Amino acid sequence: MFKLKVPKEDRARIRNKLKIIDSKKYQYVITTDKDAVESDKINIVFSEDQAEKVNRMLDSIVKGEDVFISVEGEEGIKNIESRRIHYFIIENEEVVAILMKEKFIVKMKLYELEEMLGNKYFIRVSKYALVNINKIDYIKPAFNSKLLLLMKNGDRVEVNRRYYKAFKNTLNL
Amino acid sequence: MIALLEFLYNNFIIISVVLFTLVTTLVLTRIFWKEFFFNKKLKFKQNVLRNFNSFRLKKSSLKSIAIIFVLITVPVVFIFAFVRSPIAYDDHIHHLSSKSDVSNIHASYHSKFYSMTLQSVEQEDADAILQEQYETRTIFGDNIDFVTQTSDDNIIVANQTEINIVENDDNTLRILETIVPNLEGTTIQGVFVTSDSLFVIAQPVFNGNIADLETYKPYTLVFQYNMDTYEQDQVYTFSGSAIQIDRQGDYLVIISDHFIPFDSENFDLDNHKPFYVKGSTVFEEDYSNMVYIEGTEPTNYFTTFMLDLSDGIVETKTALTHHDHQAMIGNNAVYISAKSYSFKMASDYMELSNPVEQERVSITKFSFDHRGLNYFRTRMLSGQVLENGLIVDDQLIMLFIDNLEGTSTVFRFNDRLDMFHRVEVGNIDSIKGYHHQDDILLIKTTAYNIRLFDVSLPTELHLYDPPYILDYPQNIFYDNESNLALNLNINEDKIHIVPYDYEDGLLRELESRITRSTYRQIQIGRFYDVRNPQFIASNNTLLLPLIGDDEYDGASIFVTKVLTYQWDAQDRVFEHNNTLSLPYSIHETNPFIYRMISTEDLYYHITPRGMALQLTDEPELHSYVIFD
Repeated sequence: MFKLKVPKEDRARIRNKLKIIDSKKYQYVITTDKDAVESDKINIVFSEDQAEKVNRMLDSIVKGEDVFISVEGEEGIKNIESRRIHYFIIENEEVVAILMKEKFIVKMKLYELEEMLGNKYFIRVSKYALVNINKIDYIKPAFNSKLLLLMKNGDRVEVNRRYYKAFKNTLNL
Repeated sequence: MIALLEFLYNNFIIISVVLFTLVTTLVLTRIFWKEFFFNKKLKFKQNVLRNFNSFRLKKSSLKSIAIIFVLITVPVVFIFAFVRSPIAYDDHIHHLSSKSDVSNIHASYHSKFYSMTLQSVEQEDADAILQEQYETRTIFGDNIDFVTQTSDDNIIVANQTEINIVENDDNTLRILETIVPNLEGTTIQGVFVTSDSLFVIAQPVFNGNIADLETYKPYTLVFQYNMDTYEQDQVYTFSGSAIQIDRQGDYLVIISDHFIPFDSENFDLDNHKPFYVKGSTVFEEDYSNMVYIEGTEPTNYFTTFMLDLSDGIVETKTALTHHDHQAMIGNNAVYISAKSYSFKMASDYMELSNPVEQERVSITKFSFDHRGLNYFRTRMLSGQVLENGLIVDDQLIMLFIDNLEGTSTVFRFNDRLDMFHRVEVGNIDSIKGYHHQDDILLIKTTAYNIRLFDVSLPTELHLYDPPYILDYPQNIFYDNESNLALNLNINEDKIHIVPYDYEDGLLRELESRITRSTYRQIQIGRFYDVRNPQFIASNNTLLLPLIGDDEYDGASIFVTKVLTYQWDAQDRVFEHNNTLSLPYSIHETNPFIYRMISTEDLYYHITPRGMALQLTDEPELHSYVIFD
């Protein structure tokens, strides 16, 4: 997403401040040198003392505005931020949103959620599950060419063989 | 229990274990790699999404690494523990380069052959082997004896401590020179001459005392004297128990054994290397000059020393092989035959009650010429070589082998050690002796049996049938022109010469048998040298030396008596025509040694104690000298 273009001697320090991971395919050029801008990209030219502001700006670019999902719990219907959801899963023919310690019924189809959240950080891992990449704690390969995702809330979600390649591609960016 | 172990330690199980370990390791490694790869990508992706996490392996992954490490370690340890680096053979021979090669070969053989009971050459066995090696008498070639003749017809006679050079001055014998070498406790075993040098060979004699085994070291001394001045030019020492010493053209060749007591206390391989000393300089055999004969038990250094008589240069070559072998010098080469085993697969780490796949006979050739002394070739044949089954001379290379199926086969080889003919010879246990003269080879197979072979054809080997039964044949000599074969045998206190008509492998006993009583029959039996009696074909005369009695100052004494017989070729009979008593002072009984040199006009009767001259047309001695 980002390409950091700063003098070599400053690169490690600035990257540490901005927490930037360079991408091969990028839309944004982050630079301290106005001559380093690229015309076909979005360029952010800054001085190093503005690093903190730039950092927050990058956060908002990546995370964007959060999407709220309507869920149904014991206390009735409420909206929760999608980034708090670990994964969606179909249980008893209902879509359930799993959070750290809670779970809610979602009155949407799984594919509708995938369409809504797929361009953010959710990824389909099986016919029954949509997983928040940021909430995966660890990936454990199994003997049968499947993957087991250990979620940060302690749950385990299986990546089906059919979705294995797509999952791998998503990680490869 | 042994059978159960053999069942368990079979190849299938061993290979299965190794394969299973390898496959499991492979699968686990792949899974672990995927785990590492996916989590690394995950953390990277999360960082891109500005959800910052550092990559770390979970405990379960570390456990996987440990399992993989253990799984990889198992076969590696297995291989290192049990499978030594294989010994590479180049046509049945392994060329050594260092001391560790000898140790590795010994360990490898030991692990194969003695894997079951951890047998080893124990100290008692080692002592017995050493004692046998030390007591085995050296065989000297025909060109080395205690008597030799110089180009100007002087005769050189050696006894145990000195050498006398005798000249014939108008049929009167005269001692020209007496040489007393610095023998350092050795005794003279033989002499020979070249155009300008006299060579004297001496060896220490082992006293048979087992307590002296550790301190006694066998060796061979060779003194070189200038023939004009009789001054000593050089002295050489050659290590080991000499098996055979022969002069081959311009070279003196000594083959000797050096048993390696691997299991003795404080054993150091470097202390057992063959060596020679020239003057005061010691030359140790280099490991890079050694070869190992495949499948033989590596208990012994078999060393060939080649002394160039013209320039004094010594060359050596050593084979690491079994101490129980047969070796001979002949036809500008040294041949050694030893038992060789091929082992069952992986027998070096499986406890098999019988790890031997096949018993074989190795025959190895070392050749020498102006280019030096070199390893030439090794051949392998299945079976066991018969006792004394290796026969080599200037025309023949033969090997008698028990094929382990109740019969024996004789193989004939050419110079390149290619086997070109073989003959089944029935059931033969051992070879008691052989005599090769002209086209006929006589093989003595028991105390009574001889086999005749026609070896005239260079590409064949013809066995005459049936075998002949003779009385105790000590030696057979024959004359093609007169069709006469003579069987010399010693039976109790008598010496017999039995004549045969001989033609095309057929022997027909004649009635004119010579039978003479002799004294000291025990000594005669042990020491009567086949070179003592002589049949002189040119004048059909047989000279037969015996120990007889005589009177001296009224007392009965033993003397050497030389009986002369004339062979009547027409009537096929021997006629006794003279008995000559040598003077008591030149009679040698311990052992009884007599040699005769004949010319057209005279006979020289020689013992280590003196020499007598007899004119052929006179019955009595003409002149004699005594060596004081």
